[in-house]
Order: sequence, then C-alpha cells, then structure tokens
Amino acid sequence: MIKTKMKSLINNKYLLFLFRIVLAMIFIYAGMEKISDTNGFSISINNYKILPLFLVNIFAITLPWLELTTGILLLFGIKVKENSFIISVLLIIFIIAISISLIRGLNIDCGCFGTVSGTKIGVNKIIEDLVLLLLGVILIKFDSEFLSLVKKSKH
Amino acid sequence: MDFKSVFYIVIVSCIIGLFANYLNPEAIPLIKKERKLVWDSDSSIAKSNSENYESTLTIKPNTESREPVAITLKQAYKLYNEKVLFLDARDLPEFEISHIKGAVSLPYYDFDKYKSLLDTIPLTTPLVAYCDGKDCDLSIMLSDKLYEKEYGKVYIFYGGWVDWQSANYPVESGYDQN
Repeated sequence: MIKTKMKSLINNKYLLFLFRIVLAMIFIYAGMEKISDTNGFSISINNYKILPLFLVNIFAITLPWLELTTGILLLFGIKVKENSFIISVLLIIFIIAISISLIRGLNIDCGCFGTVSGTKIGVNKIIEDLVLLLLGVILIKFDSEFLSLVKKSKH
Repeated sequence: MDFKSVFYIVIVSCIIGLFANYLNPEAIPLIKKERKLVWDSDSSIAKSNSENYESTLTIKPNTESREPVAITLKQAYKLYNEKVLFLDARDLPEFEISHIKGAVSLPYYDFDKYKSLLDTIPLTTPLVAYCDGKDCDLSIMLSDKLYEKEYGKVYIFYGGWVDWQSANYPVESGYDQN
C-alpha cells in the first residue's frame, strides 16, 4: 500500500522532470568546470592515489566530457534511462573514491566541480552524491518524457 | 534500458574528450609523467644561504635553471635557523591550529586569493614550502607554482609538518600573517 502510494507520488511527470533537470544541470556544470581546467582535474584525480599514474590523465581528459554529454542529453530528455544509468555509475565511483580517501585520512580537494570550488572531500560530499544517485536511480526506474526532444514510440 | 546506447554514449564522449584535448592549446599528455623530486645536497644549501647568501641575491631569477628541490628535515631545520621564509601550503584552518614558527600561510588551493602576498616577497628570496608530510603533494604543487612565478630558490620540505612536529622543533598557533 505504502509502496504503491510512494510510487504514484514519485511517478509524477513534473517531479521527474525536475529531477532530470537538476541532475542534468549539475553534471553539465561539473563537466564544464573540469573541461576548463583539465590539468587541475588531473592533479585532483592523482591526489586520490587510487588510479595508476598512466590512467590519471586519460580519466581527466574523458570523464568531464562524459559528464557534459550525459548532462546535455538528459537535459533534452534524450535516452533518459541510459544517461541516468551512466550518471549513477559515475556517482557510485565517486562515492567509493571519496570513501576510500576518507578512510585513508587523506585531506584532499574533491575535484567534484573542477578546482574552482576548492571544496574538500568529506561526509557531506558523500551525502550530496547519494542524493544525486537517488535521483539517478529514480530516473532509471521511471524515465522522464516531459518536454523531451524525442518522442518515444509506445510499445 | 538499452545498453548498446550506454556503450555508444560512453565511447563517443571519450572520443570527443580526446579530440578536444588534442585541439586544446593547454592540452595535457595522455600518460601522466611522474613528478620526480630532485633532492638537494647539504652543500648547495650551505652555498646559497650562508656566506654567499648576498651574492645569490644579485642573480637574476630568470637565469636560475634549478627546479624546486626537496630537502630533508635536517636541511629544513638548518634553513629555519638561517631565517629562511617557510610557506605553509595547507589550508588556513590547519595553519591556524599549529604551524612551523614564523611560517606564512599560502594555501595551495587558495593560491589566487593569496597572490598579493607574493608581491611582498622578492623573487630572489629563498623559500621553503611544506604541507602535512610525505603523503601530501601540496608543497610540491606550490613549489612548482612558485617556480612558474620565477622564484629562483624554492625548496620542498618533503617531510613537512609531521616530521617537524615529531622532531619537536619550534611551532606556533594562530594566524599572524605579516
């Protein structure tokens, strides 16, 4: 009963549209900030000391564009489920990376929105990412076709 | 969910990223090179900071070919006793809790905010950058930045705050930026 009530509450096209726009805008912003300072982002990734050195720059070059592309596609309602899936996977990776660094006691810059914001990693960052992950998972489950550029064919 | 689309989105984004980096005038290399620390020897520090100190001041900074060099705790203490300026690359709250006595706060992540501080420091001044300890790169990154700003004598105190504290060398707390 509660489950169906929750479901009908979330499954509201305006609410889902809002989630979609919020997630899209955050990822577009995050991607653009990182693209504007690839070198800074590369330093940020390296500070996590998780990836081997030869992968650091490849991630620094490609990850921001993946964020930007998925954000733009999500904004226009193109392949919402697929883009939400990619974003959710990225968020899980971010959560794991931040958690490992916190456990290791590293006091490093998050790099979440490039080096401009200069925020440190912390539990609040994990909570932020978990909230975004929740939006991502909801969009994977319910989709959002409101104001989409592409119309889906009904099965 | 169409996983084929997921695959295409990821691949196309990566290709765009690689292409954009290729066209970017500030492109970064695909494979990151390790930042190898160059260690100083006691003799060169002695040369640059004791009796020949005056003569190093006359050297034009842009003729210096040295890159920032790493120094040990012993060398750092020697420079400290010679009143060389120490720069704390950590964040201000950490600096306020405690720092090397006489050190000035220059947080790497807020470098742009503290830029004006550098106007008061001549380019020929020897500087020692430090941060937490061996696990932190802030001192290295700050030194590289100072070197870019044409500071000719920049030292990286690699052991940093952790080594300094464990050696019971002079520390102070609070914020007293000159």
